[in-house]
Amino acid sequence: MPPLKLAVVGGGPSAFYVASRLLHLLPHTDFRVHIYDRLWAPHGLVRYGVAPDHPEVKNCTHKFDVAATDPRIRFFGNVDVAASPALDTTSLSLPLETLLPYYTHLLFATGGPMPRVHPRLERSKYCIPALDLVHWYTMHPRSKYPPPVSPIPENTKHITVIGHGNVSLDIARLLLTSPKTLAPMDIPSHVIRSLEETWRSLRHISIVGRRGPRDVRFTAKEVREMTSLTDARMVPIPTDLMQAAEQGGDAESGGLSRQQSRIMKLLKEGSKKVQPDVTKSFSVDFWRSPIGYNITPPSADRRVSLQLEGTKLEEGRVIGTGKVDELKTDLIVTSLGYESDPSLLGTDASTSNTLQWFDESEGHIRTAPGGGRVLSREGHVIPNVYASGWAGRGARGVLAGTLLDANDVAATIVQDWQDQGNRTASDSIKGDEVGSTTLANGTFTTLAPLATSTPAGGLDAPPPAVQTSVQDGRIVTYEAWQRAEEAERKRAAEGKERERMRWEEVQELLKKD
Amino acid sequence: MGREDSTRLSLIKIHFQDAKGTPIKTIEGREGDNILDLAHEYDIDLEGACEGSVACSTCHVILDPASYDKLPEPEDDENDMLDMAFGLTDTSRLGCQVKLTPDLNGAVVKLPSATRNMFVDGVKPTKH
Ligand SMILES: Cc1cc2nc3c(=O)[nH]c(=O)nc-3n(C[C@H](O)[C@H](O)[C@H](O)COP(=O)(O)OP(=O)(O)OC[C@H]3O[C@@H](n4cnc5c(N)ncnc54)[C@H](O)[C@@H]3O)c2cc1C
Ligand code: FES
Repeated sequence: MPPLKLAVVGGGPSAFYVASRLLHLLPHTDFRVHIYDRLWAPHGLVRYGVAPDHPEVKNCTHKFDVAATDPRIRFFGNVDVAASPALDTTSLSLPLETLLPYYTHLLFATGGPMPRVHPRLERSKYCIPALDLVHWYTMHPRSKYPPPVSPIPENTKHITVIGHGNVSLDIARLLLTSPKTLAPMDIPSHVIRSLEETWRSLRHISIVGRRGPRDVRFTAKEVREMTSLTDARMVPIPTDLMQAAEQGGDAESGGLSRQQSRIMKLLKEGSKKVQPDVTKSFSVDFWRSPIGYNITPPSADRRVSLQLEGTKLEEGRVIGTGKVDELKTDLIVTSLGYESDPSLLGTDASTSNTLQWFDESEGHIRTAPGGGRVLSREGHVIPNVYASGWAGRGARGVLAGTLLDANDVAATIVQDWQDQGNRTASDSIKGDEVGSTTLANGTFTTLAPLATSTPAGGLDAPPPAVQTSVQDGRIVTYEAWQRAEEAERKRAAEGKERERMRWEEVQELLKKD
Repeated sequence: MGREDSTRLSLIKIHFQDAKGTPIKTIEGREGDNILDLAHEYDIDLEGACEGSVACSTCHVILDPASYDKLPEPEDDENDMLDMAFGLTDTSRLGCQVKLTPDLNGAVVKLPSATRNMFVDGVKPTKH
């Protein structure tokens, strides 16, 4: 039976959940999993996404730590699997095909790192994707705002967030929470200083969506947190709007789901709350869609004039009513979801067969339902290639969903591997031949294929370039990450959860020992 | 488990079943133990991603109706997380929030499927 040596591209929760599940399913098998991440630190959005005031969510990393202590699982931080070298010189750039001969199986767990843009809202100093803010307050290594730069312009009084999902609420909640409360949390100190400045000027955050209260993508916990803020009050939602939503009067039929009715109840309760002494506020605004914005002269009270068109439902689709309002604001933050990045598969569809694994219309890698087997454009299974998490299912859902999906994918990998082993044994064909038949359909023509018998480097070794970079300290192993993490906790001020490190600081630290 | 006979009286029996209702294990817990901790103690495949902080819903379990009715109503925060549980039922709870009481003796705790795909759910740990 050929060995199982799996390369995982991406080291977020999906990767670690798959690795963990493989350990569970194959407790006594000598398999290998090598997890590559383009960032020096593992854990993807758990480290660089989950809001700092939700530390409990990050407890899932304890399980990842346990998986990583198993010698069969290895992590290589700072390896960018990319068709063309990355712009930053921090990470080792490794084209996909150099990886393949060293592995028998390949898993994409690359998440959905690209924010969806709004065609009518051009990026500017006054209009940024929510991910810019998230990367800033989590000190993402590729953040566009290295310390001490803040993405929030000076003297911002009014912010408009576009999109009714949890990331919108994360941002609104953090900006409407006193920096004193935030200071002990896992937020870099320079960010806290900038937030203090924003806190002095900020008065209102408007959270705008193009649908009604039935269709919000917020979850109840996050809505409850918004309506429980001590320093900001909610502008009541018009009663007729809520009533229309409850009665399905907004042209949607059918009863409310449990989630819908609980969220609507929270919104109604929040609307009734009286907080007279509070100077900051937020509003959840429905049935509005942005159609453009202008930057106003510096003398104006607000920096931006945003045009919002009224919307309504027609046969289930959102359409504009033609009625346009101007909203004076200082910063537009778009939070419209995420897509996967196809560039690691190739940059030119005419020369790269792997690029066709990417489903352009869905914005993620094309997979068979349940199990994560990657499919060609024609729907053929690409042997031994899988995608999990946000890379394989699209960028939606909480960690619980990412976990279930990872369990699916791990089980499929094991099943396929065992089936292949059985076939090889019974037909007494060599692994090589099994490989070349399946490859004959041309799916791999521009790539060196995955190994079908003993992989290059044997069971243990990663490609030589990786090996070298581990030795010279450019690549961060899991043990090195844990040392950095401990240093982050140790160097934090008394009572503060941690003080995150920049890569340069991590390098210094790791050089010392 | 090598527990003293004299403590046996205070032990509370819990029957764990898999998603299809097949018995996995019957275990004995003490008053105040929660279902998530017990599952981990007895090596039962129940996830607890946030480690009992009511922040994840991965510890979702389904109780038999009689036992469900004996429990105090879930708090708001538990309901908020249950909203997101996969395969929610009328007798669903978060395992980390269910504390054993003597009247739960004999309760049946069903684990929801560890995957969404019944086809691969048949893959069980192997030993080769
Ligand atoms: C802002 C935000 C907040 C969230 N908060 C919560 C929350 O509070 N609770 C909750 O349950 N869920 C939350 N989620 C959802 C949760 O983060 C996802 O379910 C989960 O992270 C998806 O895991 P993943 O491994 O598929 O992707 P990711 O977490 O995105 O991991 C992908 C990894 O792949 C790496 N990568 C990408 N491309 C390459 C490449 N070419 N080469 C090498 N490495 C690469 C990335 O650096 C990253 O580390 C949040 C999501 C966001 C966006
Ligand atoms: S372990 Fe997370 S909610 Fe129970």
